[in-house]
Amino acid sequence: MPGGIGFYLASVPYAIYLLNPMEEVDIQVLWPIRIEVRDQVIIVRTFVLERDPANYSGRPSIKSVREVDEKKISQDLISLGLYPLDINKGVKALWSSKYMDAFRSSFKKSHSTSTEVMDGEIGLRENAPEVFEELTSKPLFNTHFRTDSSIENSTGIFQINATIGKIGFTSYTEHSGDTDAVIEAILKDNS
Amino acid sequence: MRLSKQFLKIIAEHTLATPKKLEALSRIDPQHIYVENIRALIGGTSWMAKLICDTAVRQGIFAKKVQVLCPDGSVARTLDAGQPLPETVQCWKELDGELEPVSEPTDRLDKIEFYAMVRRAA
Repeated sequence: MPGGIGFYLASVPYAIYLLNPMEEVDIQVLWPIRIEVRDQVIIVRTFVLERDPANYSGRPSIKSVREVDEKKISQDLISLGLYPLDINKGVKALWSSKYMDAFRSSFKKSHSTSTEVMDGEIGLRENAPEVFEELTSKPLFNTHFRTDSSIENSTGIFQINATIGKIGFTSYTEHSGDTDAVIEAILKDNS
Repeated sequence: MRLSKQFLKIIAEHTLATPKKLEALSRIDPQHIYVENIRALIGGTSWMAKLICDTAVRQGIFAKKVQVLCPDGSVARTLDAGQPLPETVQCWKELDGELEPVSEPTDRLDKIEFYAMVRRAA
């Protein structure tokens, strides 16, 4: 498969049900998508679209429906035979190396899914080493990280589901390339 | 050769048998073996761990299974791999502070594979 980077601007239809007065409104939202093809990995980057599209109208809404979202894209890729990349190894290597720590983590045990939520968002690795030791051999689900204060990176809090290869950044960074730095560090340690 | 011995042989071939790793191996539930359990044990990549597990399936040692995950990460349904998935599964969602059952379309939910050691009649 040839490598390369493609930028796309998708037009996403939203159906919004507004109040005062009750009205169904159809709007189109432009959605930037970046697809990067590497030797063995495809990285799809999207922005998280406005969760409440009624904000575009300034009126209260009862419901909004969109046909295409991040989930739909990943499901379509799976249907094409492109499977989610397991990044447990890369994420755990960075977590162990003190690049970052998590304050909330879900992981799969044999018969249950366990979620550990740290008081006051303190770091799990530093303050609950017995839990950290346990989850090093378990599949990680949604886990909320922040980089260590010694690391020069402005990504703030980011969420990783390592088992399905999904990384989500909750806010824009102050410096360009900070989110890419996290992604590259994970992929480097994952190989 | 008994199946459990075959399984241990495959793992041992890819593992430096330190006491810590042997203890980790003993903690794996043979009916719920995730790729990440094996990857952590052998210290390699998930690709390599999956290869070991899929080889065990071809040799009749493991059976592959699929779990459908609710948005909160809980398992809604467990099926044999290749078995058709139901169109919807029941999950639980917090609405106004109360947990309510909701029907979720399976094609929009994440799935995770795992392996179970095949039990055969003696």
